Amino acid sequence: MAGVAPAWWELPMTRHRASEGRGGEKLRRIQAVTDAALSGLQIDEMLAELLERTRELLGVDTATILLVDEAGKDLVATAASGLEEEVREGVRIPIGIGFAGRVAAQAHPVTIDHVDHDTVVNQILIDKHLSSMAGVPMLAPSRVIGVLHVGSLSPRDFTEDDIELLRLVADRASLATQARLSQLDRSAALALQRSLLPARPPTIDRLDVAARYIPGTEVGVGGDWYDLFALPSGHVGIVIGDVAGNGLRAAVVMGRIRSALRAYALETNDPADVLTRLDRKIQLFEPDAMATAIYAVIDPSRTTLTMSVAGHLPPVLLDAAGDARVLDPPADLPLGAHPTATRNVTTAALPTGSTLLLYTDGLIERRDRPLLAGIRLLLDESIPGKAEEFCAHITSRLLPEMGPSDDVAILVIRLTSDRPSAAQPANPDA
Amino acid sequence: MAVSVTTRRHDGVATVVVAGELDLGAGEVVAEAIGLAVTATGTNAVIVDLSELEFVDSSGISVLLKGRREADRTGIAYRITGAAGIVQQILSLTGVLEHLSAEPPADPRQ
Repeated sequence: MAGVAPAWWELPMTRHRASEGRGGEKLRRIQAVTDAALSGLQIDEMLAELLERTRELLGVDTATILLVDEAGKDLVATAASGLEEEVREGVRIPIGIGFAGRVAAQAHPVTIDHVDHDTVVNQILIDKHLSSMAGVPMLAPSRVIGVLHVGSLSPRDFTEDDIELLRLVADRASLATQARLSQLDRSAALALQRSLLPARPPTIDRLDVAARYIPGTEVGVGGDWYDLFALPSGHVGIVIGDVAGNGLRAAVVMGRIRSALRAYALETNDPADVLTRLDRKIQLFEPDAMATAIYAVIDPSRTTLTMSVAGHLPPVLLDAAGDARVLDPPADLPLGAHPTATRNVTTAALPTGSTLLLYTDGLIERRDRPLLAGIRLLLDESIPGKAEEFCAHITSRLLPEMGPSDDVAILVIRLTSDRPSAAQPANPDA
Repeated sequence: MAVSVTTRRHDGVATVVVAGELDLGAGEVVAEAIGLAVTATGTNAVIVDLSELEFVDSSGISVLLKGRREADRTGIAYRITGAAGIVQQILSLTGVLEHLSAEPPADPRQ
């Protein structure tokens, strides 16, 4: 089917060609249950609806879905039919413990013929006086995302057909959950990202500033960010950064890193010191996170730029005459890379009329083009002028027509003369 | 494009060959292979062979760095080899090439 991806309920059931007759009849009934009408519901309403039908079809007294939480350690009761208390009371079962925990850990169906402290850890199941239970894992490619289980008050042997049916329902629920979560993920990430990025860079004395954040087409929002702030000492802090990964996770980590960097920037004007403290914090509190970043500081007299580079692509400095060069400080390790990372500081003169360009790799990285060629192009396209024009020009020349596949953050800062007038033409002799 | 990972073991050295593209989608598979190599009994050293790697992005770099941290914690040697072309450029520009290629220290527990 070229061009249009099938909806999840239209996907062929290659794993479940159950026998015809009673099994085939049940399959048709399940298909009728998992239809388009369900897709309009919120995820928990949809799952609850699915569970109710499952209860009827299998003739059981309870049907419950638990989903693996964000951290990947616990199962959380998310939807239930006949055992609503589980959801109301926010039941959490560690993976590997108890009945549902075992199903998740083994990624395999499990049935039990008595429900007591030997077989389950959830008191609610015991209080309900269930006799038999059957559970199947909800699977996504390469991981378990939840468990579907059913329970019967009277003793019951769950047949192969029953388990087959449960697996089918679990597949459907799993696909829907993933689709819905990734939708939520994307819009939540976008909302969070938008709330974290400044809509307009702050007005700072003698700085003409422009910035862009563009989410990638392939990855949606990601962990790229820029930041600019005036410090009480009169220094100006400048940041460009890129948290590895994508989606909500990267955006959330980015938010914490950006916040922490601001706090450290208040304590010291030494960029290497700021990044070292930030690195230590990340290694302790975000163990597997990695980010590249540049923290640069302009001094109060606005003549010098001091920076420390944590594995990030080098900035471009365009002088008033229009000559562009790469500021090529030695790149230290990215943040989060290794406990023994040492950080250096580089200083560059910042003549009036010069423009500093910071960016993330989404701007120049192409699968089929070496990075250095991309940087070369960036230099060629760097033309003198107001920050906003420069920014717009770079964006239009460097980004692919379809938009970047990876997200992009750009920060352009031009140092204007110290004449008080705000609206003056770019005059290199000023 | 996909990634393919093969691990060869010989005399206590596990060589993890990563071919194709090491990007966000490929990260988990490669991280697992490296993790297994590092923690397997009898491993003294892990070499990650990138000679057949055509592309790496920041999430791929993160995987390679994580392998180094895990190896350091376990007390075994770890380094990458064979990085070339675009891959070498990216690793160099992000400041990790030397760190990842370094010969193992005399005492791995340093």
